[in-house]
Amino acid sequence: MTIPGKPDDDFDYLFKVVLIGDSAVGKSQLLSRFTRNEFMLQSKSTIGVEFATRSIQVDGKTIKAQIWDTAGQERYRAITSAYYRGAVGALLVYDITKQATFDNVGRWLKELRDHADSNIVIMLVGNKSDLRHLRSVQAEDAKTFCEKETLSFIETSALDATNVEEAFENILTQIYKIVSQKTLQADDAQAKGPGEGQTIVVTQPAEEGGKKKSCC
Amino acid sequence: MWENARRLAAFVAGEDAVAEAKVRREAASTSTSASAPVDSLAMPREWSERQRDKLLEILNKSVVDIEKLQQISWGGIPQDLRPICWQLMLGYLPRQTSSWQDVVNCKRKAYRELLKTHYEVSNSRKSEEELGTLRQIAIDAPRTEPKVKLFGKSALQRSLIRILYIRACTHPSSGYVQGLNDVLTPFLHVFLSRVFPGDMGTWDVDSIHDDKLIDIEGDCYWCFCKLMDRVEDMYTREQPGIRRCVREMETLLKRIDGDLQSHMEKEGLELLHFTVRWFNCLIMRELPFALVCRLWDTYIAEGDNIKSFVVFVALALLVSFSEKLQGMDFQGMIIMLQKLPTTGWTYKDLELILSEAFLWTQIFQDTKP
Repeated sequence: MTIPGKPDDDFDYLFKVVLIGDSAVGKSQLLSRFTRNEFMLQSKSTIGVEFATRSIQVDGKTIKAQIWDTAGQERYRAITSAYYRGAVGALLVYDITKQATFDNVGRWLKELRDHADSNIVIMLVGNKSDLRHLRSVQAEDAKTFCEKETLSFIETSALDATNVEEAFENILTQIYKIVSQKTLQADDAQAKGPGEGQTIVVTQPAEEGGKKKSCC
Repeated sequence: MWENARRLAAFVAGEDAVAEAKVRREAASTSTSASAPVDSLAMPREWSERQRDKLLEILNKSVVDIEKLQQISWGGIPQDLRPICWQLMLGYLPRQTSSWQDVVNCKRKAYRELLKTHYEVSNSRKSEEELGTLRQIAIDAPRTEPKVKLFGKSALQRSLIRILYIRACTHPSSGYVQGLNDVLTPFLHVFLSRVFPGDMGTWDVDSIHDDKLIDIEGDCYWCFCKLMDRVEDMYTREQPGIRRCVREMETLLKRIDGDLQSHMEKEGLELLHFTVRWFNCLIMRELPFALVCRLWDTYIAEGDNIKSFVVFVALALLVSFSEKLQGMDFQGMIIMLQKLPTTGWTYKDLELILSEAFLWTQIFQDTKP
């Protein structure tokens, strides 16, 4: 299995990340803010998946994030779960002003556990933090939940751009650390690693990342 | 249908048929076609007059020949005849013209009953599932064709919610699926055009009398249900109809445009990456809204064949960008395919897609995948 996208682009690592969560929590807006620095005033619901990409620098390496934004309605899960394949990260988004979207987080986690790789890095994202006066989910509750489930957590606002960069940077750095560590271990074991400037495409469970790195 | 498409192709190519029709129908201009002389999104006037003549001949009989009506409507219906032609082809209006009024009265009354039974009951009497459906619809209604101001008006927001909710209640196997709010919009637009003349930007729908609005809503509801019945498996659990469309498209693409197919395969691009939305919304999201009603003319004229015809439209659309796509990598392709550069498309561009789709249905009709 190869991840779509050629490794001859200008990047060192290519990570596939999915955006999941209930309808209208702002998944597409987070993606739009991160990849185009835009907030769409006239947006339609996402049907199926939508794709966007952006590269960031971590430790002097260029990491290209290939982000798949999925439809929120439960009815679509049969189709959207097919897109989880090859994802090494997931941003699970809820709306801090809608308790029900936080209550559903458990179901989305199950969805990931059923369909995505077991080593996928998951970050819980409480979006719409600009709507302070309408808050119904306390950050403390979300943090407690994340400690229990060993997820990382951040609150964002796609509207005013608070923490959007940070959310994506955090998850991509986490993935990078896991992958580079695995790569080092694999290098030790195999006594040969990727050369300087060699591209690593991560498509497989992180534990296999080392074996799959020699894509080019 | 074949003859019709040939004539259409001739028209698109600018052959003599145009001039001929012009002479014949010089005097018979109507409000709709005359008000938009150089609107590249509207049906060209000469063609419109030609279609009108033929359609009126069919419609002026005491018993309407539906097959004939489908044949002609396939090539596009003038705006003012759309409501009646759609309603006939969808089986909302009966073939006997004498019973039209009775049937419409009866159906509108039935819609009011459905409103009472399903919508106008307190939330405490709705099931958990029904409330979930209503919530989802209420989330999507404001996101319906946001560029078309008409649908954002409060009267139409209420209509969208009521129609979608009642259909979900009466068709539990498919229920409400995101995107159906879009699929409903051509009906609202076309049936409202009977009440409001001129450009839809000027329609003051919030001032319309409630009773009148509910009548139109009822027409929309029944016609929307009839169209949905023809494609229902696209919206039932796990959406098997969409999977079928994608599979058929895969098989046909290999035969129609093998170069594009192998380029996509080499780049790791699968049809599933971008066609779910195409099929889920019957390709309307890929076109400017002003062209969607024209697309609907052909869909509705296809009858039950719409299920396979939509695959050919998708193919024609994809292949029309074949050359560009073959010069792109995975990322370039998917970014273009999820936001096709059709914003500036004209009526003629859509005609070419439909003609191409039609030709392929003829070529592949006996060798269905």
